[in-house]
Amino acid sequence: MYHSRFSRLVLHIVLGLTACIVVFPFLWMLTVSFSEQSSVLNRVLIIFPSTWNIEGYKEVFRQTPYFRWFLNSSFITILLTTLQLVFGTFAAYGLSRFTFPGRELLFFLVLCTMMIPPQAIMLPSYMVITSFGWVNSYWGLVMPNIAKGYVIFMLRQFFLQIPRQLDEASQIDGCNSLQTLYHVYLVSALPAIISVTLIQFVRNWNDYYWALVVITEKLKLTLPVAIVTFRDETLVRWVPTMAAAVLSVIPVVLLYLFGQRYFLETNLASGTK
Amino acid sequence: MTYKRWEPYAYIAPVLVLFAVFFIFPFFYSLFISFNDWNILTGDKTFVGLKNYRTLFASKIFGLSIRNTLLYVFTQMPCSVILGFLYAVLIEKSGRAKVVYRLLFFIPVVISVSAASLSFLTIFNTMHGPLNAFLKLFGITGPNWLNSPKSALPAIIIIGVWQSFGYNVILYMSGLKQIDGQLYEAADLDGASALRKTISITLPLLSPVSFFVIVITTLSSFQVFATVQILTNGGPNNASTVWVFYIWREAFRYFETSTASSAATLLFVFMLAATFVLVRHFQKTVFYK
Amino acid sequence: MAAVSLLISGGLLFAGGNQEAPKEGSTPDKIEITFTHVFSGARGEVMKGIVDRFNASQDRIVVSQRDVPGWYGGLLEQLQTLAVGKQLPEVTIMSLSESTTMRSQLGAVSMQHYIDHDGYNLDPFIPRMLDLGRDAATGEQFALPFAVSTPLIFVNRDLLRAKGIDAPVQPETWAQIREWAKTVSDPAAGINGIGFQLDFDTWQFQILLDSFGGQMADVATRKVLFNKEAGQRVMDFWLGMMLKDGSFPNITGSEAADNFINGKLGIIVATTGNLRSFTENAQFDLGVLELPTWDDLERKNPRRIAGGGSNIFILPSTPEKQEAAWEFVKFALNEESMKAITEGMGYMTARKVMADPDGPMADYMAKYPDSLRAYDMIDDLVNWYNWPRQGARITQTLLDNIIAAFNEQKSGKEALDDAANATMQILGW
Repeated sequence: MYHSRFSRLVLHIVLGLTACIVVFPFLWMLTVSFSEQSSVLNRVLIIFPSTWNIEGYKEVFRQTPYFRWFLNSSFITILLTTLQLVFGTFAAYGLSRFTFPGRELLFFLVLCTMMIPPQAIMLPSYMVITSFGWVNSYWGLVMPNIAKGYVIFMLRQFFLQIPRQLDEASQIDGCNSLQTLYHVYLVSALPAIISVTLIQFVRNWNDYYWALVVITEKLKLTLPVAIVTFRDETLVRWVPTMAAAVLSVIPVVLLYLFGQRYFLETNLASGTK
Repeated sequence: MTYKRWEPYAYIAPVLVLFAVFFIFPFFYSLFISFNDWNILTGDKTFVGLKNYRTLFASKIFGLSIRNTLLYVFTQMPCSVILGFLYAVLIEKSGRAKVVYRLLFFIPVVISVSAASLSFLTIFNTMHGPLNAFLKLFGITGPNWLNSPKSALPAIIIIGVWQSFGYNVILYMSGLKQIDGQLYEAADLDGASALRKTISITLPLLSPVSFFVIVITTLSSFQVFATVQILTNGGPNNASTVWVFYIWREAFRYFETSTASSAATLLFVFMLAATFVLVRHFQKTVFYK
Repeated sequence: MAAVSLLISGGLLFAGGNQEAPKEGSTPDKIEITFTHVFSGARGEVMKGIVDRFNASQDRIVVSQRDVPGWYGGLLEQLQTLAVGKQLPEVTIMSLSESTTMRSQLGAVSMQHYIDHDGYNLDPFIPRMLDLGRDAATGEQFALPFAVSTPLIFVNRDLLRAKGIDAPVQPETWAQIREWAKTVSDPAAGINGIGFQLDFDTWQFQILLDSFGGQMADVATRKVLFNKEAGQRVMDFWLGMMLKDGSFPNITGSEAADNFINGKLGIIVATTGNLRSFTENAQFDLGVLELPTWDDLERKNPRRIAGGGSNIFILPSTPEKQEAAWEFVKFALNEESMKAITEGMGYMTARKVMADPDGPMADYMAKYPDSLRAYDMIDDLVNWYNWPRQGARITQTLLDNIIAAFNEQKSGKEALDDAANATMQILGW
C-alpha cells in the first residue's frame, strides 16, 4: 500500500485526537478527583490540577463504607462470573457437541435471553425474588444472572471450531463425555474461555440496574450503585463524587491493563463465523 | 460419537431450569399482570383485559418514550458501527502504534456506566463543564445540555456512542485481520483506488462481522437505562425518557405494576419479533458447515 | 471442581448470613427494631448518635439504624419495596408530603393511641408543628414532627453589596427579591442572580402559590386549583426572572447550590437544612434571610409556608415491637435529641423550648444567630399538600410542565393547565 509521509501524519493526528477524546472522560475523572473544590468550577481545560489535593478521597473513605462496597463487588463478581462460566460451559458443550431433538429450539431460547432487555422482565423477576425471600440479599442478586446467554453463545461458537477428530480420539481413548469436555474442549479453547471470563467479569462488576433494584441496604450495595447514591444529596460535590467514581473503576481498569491480551486479541470475531 | 440419550440434557438442564425460573416464567407472569389491575401493596387483583394496553397507547409519555428509544437506537447504533469500522481501518494502518491505540479505544468499554455517567454529569455541566468551555474557545455557546429538551437526548446518545464504539473497533479489527492481503495486492495491480478497494473487497468480506456488530450494538442500544437514570432522570419534561426507563419508573417510582407490566410485555414481544427476524437472516448467512 | 463448590458454599453462607442482619441473634429479652432515615455523612452521624444513646440508655430494646439513599423519594420507594417483601422497618421518618401515602398505603400506626395510653404531654410542643402530623379533620395525631424545615433565602452579601444592596433579614416582598436578582445578575462576569431549588419536588411551587393567595387543590370538591390566577402569578414570577430579566438560569437545584457556594450566584432559595453546609463551605459573607412577608407591593397576600422536612412514623408490626418503636420515638423527640438535630443538621425541632433564646440552644444561637431564622417564621407554617393518591406521579407531572415552560416549550399558562388536566385525569376527578 502506498503511504506518503503526509498521509501517515494525518492518520496519526486523527487517531491521536480521537484517542484523546475517547480517554478524556476518564482523565477528567482523575483530574477532578485530585483538585480542590474551589478551583474546579473555575478551570477551563487543564488536565493536571495545579495542586494535588486528596481531600476528595479522604472524604470518600470517611463518609462511606468504601471498603465494604469494594468487598461486596469483589465477592459478587467473582462468585457470579465463576458460576456463569461453569454453567455456561456445560450448556455450551451440550449445545455444540451433541445432536438431539429440540437443539435448535434451545439455541433460539439462548439467543432470546441475550437479545431481550433484562428490564423487560425486571418487575416480574423482582416478584419472583420476593417470593423466595431474596430481596436485599445476594441470592437475589446472583441467581437470576447465572444463566447467561452471552456466555453460552460465545463458548458454543468456540467449541464448534474444535475439530471433531479430537473428540473422536478421546472417545477411542475411553473418555466419557465429561472427560472429553475437560481434556479436549477446555484445554483447546482455554484462551477463548479466559477472554469470555474477563469480559463477563467486567460486565458483572459494572452491573448497575439489577443491583439498584434488588439491594436496599446501603452496606450491601455494590460499587456502581453505591457511588451514585453518594452523589444523591442536594449538592453535587464534584471532587468527592469523582474520587468515588475513580475508586470504583480502578480495579477493572487495572485488570484490563494487565490482561489486555485476553480482552483484545482472542478472536471475538470468530463468534461471527 | 456415542453418548447416552440423556447426556446432552444433563448438560443443559441447570441452565434450562434457571432460564425457566428467571426468564420464561417472568415473561408469562408479566403478561398475566398486564391483563390485571394489580395493587402491589394490598395484593388486590382485578381482571381488566386490554385496559392497561389501551391506557398505555393513549399515554403521550409512553409514546414519547418509544419515539425517544427509536431515535436513540437509530442514531447511536449507526454512529457506533460506522465509527467502529472507520477506526478499525485506521488503526490497522497505523503500524507500531496499533497496540497503543487499540488499548486506549477500548477503555470506555471497561468503565462502568455509572462511573462514566457521573463523569459526564460534570462534563456536560452547562456553566462550568469542560465541554462548553472548550466550545467557547471557538466562539460557540454550548447548549444547556442536560437541562434543555433539545440537547438532553443527544447528550445521552453521545455517551452511548462513546461507550460502545471501542468494542466495535476491536471486532472489526479481528475481522480485517482475516482478510487475505493478496486480494488487496491483486486490486493494486488492477490500479484500484483506496476507496474502490474498500467498497469491493473490505466491506463485502466483512459482512458477517458487520452483521454481528450491527446486531450486538442494536440490541444493547435498546437497553439504555443507567445514563438516563443518573444524568437526566428522563427529563427535562420526558425529553430523554426511553422505553426501559419508562418501565422502571412506572414500576419502582410510581408503583404502577399494571402499566409497567404492559410496557414491559410490549418491549419483550417487540424484541422477540426482532430476534426471530434476525436469527432467520443469521441462519441463512452464517450457519454453513 | 472442589474449588468451585467451596466457593459456592462460602457464598451460600455469606448470602444467608447477610439476609436479615438486624434480626439475628435476638435473645428472648431484647426487642430489636430498625429505624430508617435519609441522612448520610455528617448528618447521618446525628442519627447514629441518637440511636446509640437510646440503646445505651436502656436494656430492653436494641435499635439499628439505616440510611436509605435517594432522599425521601428513595426512602418511600424502598419502604414500598420492603412492604411487598414484608420487611418493613418499625420506625421511620418520612417527608411531610407523603403523610397520606404512609397512612393509606403503608398502614402507618397512629400515634394517638400511644399518646393517650402513655399520657404523653404534647404541651411543650409548638402547636403549628404538631399540626404537621395531625389529621385536620379528626384531630388525630397520627405522627409527630421530627425535623422540620422551611426554605430560607441565602444571599452572598459580598455580591449584593458590590451592587449597592444591603439586604435586610426580613425582606418585604417577592417583588423586592426579583429586583435584587436583576441587579446582581451579571452574566458577562459569570455571576447569576438567583436560583431556586425547585426541581426536587413541588414544595417551593406550593409555597409561592400559597403566598400568592392560591391553593393546590380542594379534595372536597375534587378540583385542582393550582392553575388558577395565583398559580399563573408564580409562573409569571419565575418566567419573568428567567426569560425577561435573565437573572434566573435554567439549571438544576444542585447546580444552583454548587454555583452559590462557589460565589457565582447571588441569591438562592433553599431549605434551612442546607444551612450548615452553606455556612461551612461558603468563602464569602453569607446572609440568611427570611421569606418575604408579602407577595408584592399591594400586600394582598401574606406569606404562607408549607412546612418541609419530616415526621416520624411507627409502621405496623407486632404489638411488642410497636411499643418498642414508641419508646424510641419518645427518645428521639426529647430535648437532647432535638439539640443534636438542630446543631448537626440545621433543621427545626418541635419543642417550644428549642426556639427559646434562653433555653438549651442558647450557646448555639449566640454563636450562629442565623441558625434560628426559620423559627421566626413558624406562625406562618401550613401543611404541605398531600395528594390523595399517586403523589409521585402528580408531582412529576407538575414539575415536568414547569420545566417545559422554562424551556419555552409552552407558555406558563399552558404548562399549568396541562398539568392540572393531567392531574385530574390521574385522580379521576
